[in-house]
Amino acid sequence: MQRIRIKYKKELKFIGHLDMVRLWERALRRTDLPSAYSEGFNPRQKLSFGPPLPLGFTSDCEYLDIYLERWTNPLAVKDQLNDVLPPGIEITEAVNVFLAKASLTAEIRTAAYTTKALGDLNSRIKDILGSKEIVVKRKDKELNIRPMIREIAQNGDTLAVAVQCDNFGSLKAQELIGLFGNAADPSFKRIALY
Amino acid sequence: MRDQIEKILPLVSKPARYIGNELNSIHKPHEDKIRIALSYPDNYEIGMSNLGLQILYHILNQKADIVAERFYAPWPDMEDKMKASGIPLFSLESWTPVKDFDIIGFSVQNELTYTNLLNMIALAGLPLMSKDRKDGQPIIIAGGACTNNPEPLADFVDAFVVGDGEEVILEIADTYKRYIPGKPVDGAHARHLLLSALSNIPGVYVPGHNKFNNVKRRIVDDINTIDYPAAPIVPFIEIIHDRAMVEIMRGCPRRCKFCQAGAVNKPVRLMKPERIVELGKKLAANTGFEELSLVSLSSSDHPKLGQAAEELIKALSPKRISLSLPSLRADTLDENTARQMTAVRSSGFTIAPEAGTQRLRDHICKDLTEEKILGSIRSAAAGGANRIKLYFMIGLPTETQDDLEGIVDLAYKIIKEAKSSNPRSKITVNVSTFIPKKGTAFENEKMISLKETLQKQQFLKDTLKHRSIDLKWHDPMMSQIEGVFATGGKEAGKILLRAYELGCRFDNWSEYFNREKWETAIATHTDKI
Repeated sequence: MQRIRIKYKKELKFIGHLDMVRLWERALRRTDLPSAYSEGFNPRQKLSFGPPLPLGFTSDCEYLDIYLERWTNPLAVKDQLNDVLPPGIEITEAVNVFLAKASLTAEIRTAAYTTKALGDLNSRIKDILGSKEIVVKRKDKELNIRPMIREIAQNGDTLAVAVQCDNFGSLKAQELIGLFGNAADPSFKRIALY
Repeated sequence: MRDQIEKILPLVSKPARYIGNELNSIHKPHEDKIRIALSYPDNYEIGMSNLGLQILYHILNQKADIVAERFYAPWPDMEDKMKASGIPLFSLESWTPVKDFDIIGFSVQNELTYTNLLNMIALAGLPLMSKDRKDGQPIIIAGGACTNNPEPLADFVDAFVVGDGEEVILEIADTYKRYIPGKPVDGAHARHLLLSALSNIPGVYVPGHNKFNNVKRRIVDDINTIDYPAAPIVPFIEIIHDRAMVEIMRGCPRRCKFCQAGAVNKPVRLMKPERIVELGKKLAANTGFEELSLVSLSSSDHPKLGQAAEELIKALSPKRISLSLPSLRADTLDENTARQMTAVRSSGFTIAPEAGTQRLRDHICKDLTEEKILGSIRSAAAGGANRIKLYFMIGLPTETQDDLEGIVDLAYKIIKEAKSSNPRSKITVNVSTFIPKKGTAFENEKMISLKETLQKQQFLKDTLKHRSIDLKWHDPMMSQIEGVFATGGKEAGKILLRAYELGCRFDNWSEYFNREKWETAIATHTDKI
């Protein structure tokens, strides 16, 4: 068995995570790549995804691990898949990784996003970074999201934010948008996961 | 308009319904082409599941001088946002206003989509009534099951295609080209002349120009010759029939007296097994769907089904693609086929006894005995199917209390039989109300009233109680409305207009179906129900 890590761009902001899972399964089935399947009554391709991208966001760096039965050149995997993917999704990198390597969700700690700043956000950024608590409601519970915010910076009309994104907690899209209200375009782009 | 649409998309549920750009969707420039907008008057997930529209979309777009695009009914949240922003109904491919197309073609299969049809004409910004639409506005055409009784829609639709649409649609486009190159002929109304010309095409009914009773149904003699879409659109979001489909047969060799599709789609036409296999393989390669369905009114009646299925299973199983049939005939399904069909994915099993007693099954010409039903349940359960769906009808002509009790008895026998092969078996009993559809042997029979329907349903609810049996019934008021439009004439169109004006939409959807509004609409024009 071979494990290949794929990095891809996603411009389709209205296609959610579950739809993306199906999209990758179908794309793989349109190629001749030797996908590995799970056992049982409902065999499915073995795929392992990075953290879901919120609906409404685009991304330059989504990750996905695919498993193949026979060794295949990762570059061929990239080319074959890019030939059958719908417009708006494009693989930028495909590399071989160890089978025993930790899962994407176990490895990733932080998600970085950019969006268009609609005005000068520097005082707002200072407020956020200077505060000890930013309390939001999640269902019926109150949660301090300040510890999840790692970095914020404005450069010209680009606003960049790095937030926690791991198995212990992730900042939600609405919470990220809510930090800046109308002062930033709500359609963020994910630029890095690390 | 593009900016405005982009602004409202993040605010609505399932915005992917409106963005187009799916794999295999076709984008062509509009210049110097006849522009045709194809639609199904329900939401994206239902509309995209309609195979006929995919076939027509493909056939039309094969032509260099035609561009065909799609649009479906916006969900109420989207409709509100569109209205608030002044966005008219638009096509998925190019976000062009529907009113800017030359021809609008609706596939209308179900009476409970009629209010959506009216609403969509209005949302496009077009006059509702055919007589109020002017030169320069699109011609609105409808095809599908609604044409078995088109009068209720005759005030709103300009022309109906009766029968198979594959050939007619190109003839309509050709006629359009000859009549509307932008110049009215001798000052006469181009639209009037065009409609009159359309009424000369065999299979086309144009209210006010020809008589429906004189229209001969169009039939594609050999379905092997159809330019079948081997690369249909693969949606981004999950749709109702989220799978590849090969239409292996048109028409049905059975003669069930209540069935309209079987009665009007004649003769039975078969796809050759080689073509089924060829198309199945191409569809799998071009779409990547995890399931291929061999569809028709009664697929297991295809005499070469076994041969085609065996070859396809061999070809598709390396990619774990499962093969399915939408309508299994219980008595023709042997254990071997059942096992093959579930080879890749454990699937459900459907059987439609329709009536509870042999007497009534004989009367409606449902060629199915209890022995055969139980035998096929045994095979299916042994083959791994543990979800069994049963279909019954109430209100069939000559039905008595014995027949209702027969439904209960049969359901109990079936669950016992299924459990003896597979203890985890569950069955769903679906009960619908008989509607005397046009063109069938029962077209002159009466439909039971709302009150009778409720009584009969109550009897089943009280009697059919078992933890492994799930009873589902068709909403009795919805059935009455279907009956009004399936059997009514022009006056039913007035009821439709009233219901639309009262705000009825998405009547197929229990969350939007509004019984009171329909009662008001019907009461205005009839005392029938």
